[in-house]
Amino acid sequence: MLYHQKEGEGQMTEEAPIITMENVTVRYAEQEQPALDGISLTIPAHSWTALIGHNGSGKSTLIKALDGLVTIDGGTMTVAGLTVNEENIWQIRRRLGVVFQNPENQFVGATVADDVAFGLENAQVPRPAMVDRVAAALEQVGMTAYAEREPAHLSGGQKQRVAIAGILALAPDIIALDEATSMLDPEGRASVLRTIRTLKAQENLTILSVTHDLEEAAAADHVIVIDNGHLVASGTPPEIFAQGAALIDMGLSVPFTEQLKTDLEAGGITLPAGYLNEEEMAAQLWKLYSTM
Amino acid sequence: MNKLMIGRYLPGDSLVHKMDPRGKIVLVFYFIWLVFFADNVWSYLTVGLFTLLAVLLTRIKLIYFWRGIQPAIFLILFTVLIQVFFTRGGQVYWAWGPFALSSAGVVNAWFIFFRLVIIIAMSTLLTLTTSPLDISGALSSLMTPLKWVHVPVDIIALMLSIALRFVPTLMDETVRIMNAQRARGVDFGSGSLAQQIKAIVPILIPLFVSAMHHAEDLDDAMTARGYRTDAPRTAFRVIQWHQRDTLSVVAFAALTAVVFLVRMP
Repeated sequence: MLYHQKEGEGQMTEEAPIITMENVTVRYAEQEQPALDGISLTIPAHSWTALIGHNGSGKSTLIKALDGLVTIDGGTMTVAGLTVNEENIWQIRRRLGVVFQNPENQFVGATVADDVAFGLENAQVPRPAMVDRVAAALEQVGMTAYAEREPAHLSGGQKQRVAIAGILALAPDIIALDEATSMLDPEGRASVLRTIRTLKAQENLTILSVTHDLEEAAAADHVIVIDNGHLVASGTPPEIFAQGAALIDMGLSVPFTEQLKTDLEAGGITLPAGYLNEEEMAAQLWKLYSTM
Repeated sequence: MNKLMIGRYLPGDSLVHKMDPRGKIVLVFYFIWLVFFADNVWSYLTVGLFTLLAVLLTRIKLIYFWRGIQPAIFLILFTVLIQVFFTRGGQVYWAWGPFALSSAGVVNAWFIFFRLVIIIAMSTLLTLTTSPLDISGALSSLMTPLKWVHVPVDIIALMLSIALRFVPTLMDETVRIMNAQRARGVDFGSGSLAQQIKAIVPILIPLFVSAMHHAEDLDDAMTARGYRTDAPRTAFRVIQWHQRDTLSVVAFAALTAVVFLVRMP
């Protein structure tokens, strides 16, 4: 509920930043062009930020840089008040949980419960506390009945829920989703996103989601567009999606309502300027219908 | 592939299933050692009955144990025949060159036959009633003393559990790659030996590359969740020793006593 209230008010920028990046550059040895080229951004606490861009634009690298999985060649970053460096990185990893793209490849444990416990084992949580936290985390993602199942018997969406539970058990401040829904079917994707949305409200989390899915981006508080390692746009979803044609030039597509609007306009029906979400679009269509 | 019972696990909640896997592994190995001490009808009867009792306690259908023995049946018959025709002793019924059929040979053949059947039945029992997860847990627990000689037991245990966890994943992938290559005209399982070996290459290389991808992704995921090879960790899964495990040790001690009592002096 909290999430929906915040979404309407659009006051996210007033919160203190939880992630800052200043002039961050990452260069892979085998590539000529840097993967990230002087990126500067801030992400307010308790917000949902979507990071969009076409394949190879540097989205995943950005997440990995924040978590210290790739070393940066220039610039500075802070996560939850800590500067990202060798010394702080293990503390930062406790505060920032990452759900990766491939549900199969991030499943460490032999069973669901073992996998959720993996991070807790690393954090040296004593066993009695671990049992409670594993049970609680599985409950939160609705996977309690599957605790003793092996990964081979789970669907992609269920594996992603387990990955989320594994991170929740560690009680982070930020959850980064690195295209976490891209390998799921529409149903699995919707259910994983629903889970995240509920959790964000319950746990007062900050969500940073890297995505191709524009419906997912449309639900965020804030959208950041990156292209070829550069930050090209940043704003609320309506601000970003109102750029329609410019998005398509960057190799992205536009959300369904924006597409519908373009098609309607091509057919001679004019709608008010600016991005409309599904409800607003429906309202506009009713209005049009009644005046016809 | 489905017929093969070696290494198969059948979930259940019998007494044998619920035993401490460490105790189970040690006792099964001990039992196999003990079987070699049986040297007359009575001692074989004792270990044989004990095996039958253990098998019945698992409440697994006997057909599964039979399937465990099946692949070894030719080996058993071969060994038995060699015993029958090459052992001389006691009353010789028939002889021709190096071959001979004697009473000692027949008795020996029976003993070898029972020995092999009992050993296979007992090892099948171990794998049928213990999940791979329990086996790897038990092995790492049994390896703990090796820490004193600086063997990285925890890392070996984690490697073992990750390897087991990825077996089905890589199996699925192998099937997928094979089908994808078949769709592109690769012919598996026909042609000369050299051709068949060549046909394996389009499976092996993609599988190797994808195993590398799995490893890289898993590395990132593990690091992101705070895994450090040099740092101490706590354990979520613990193996517990119950009273039934102590009882099973007592049962094996009693069995040992009986076997040594009825052995030929």
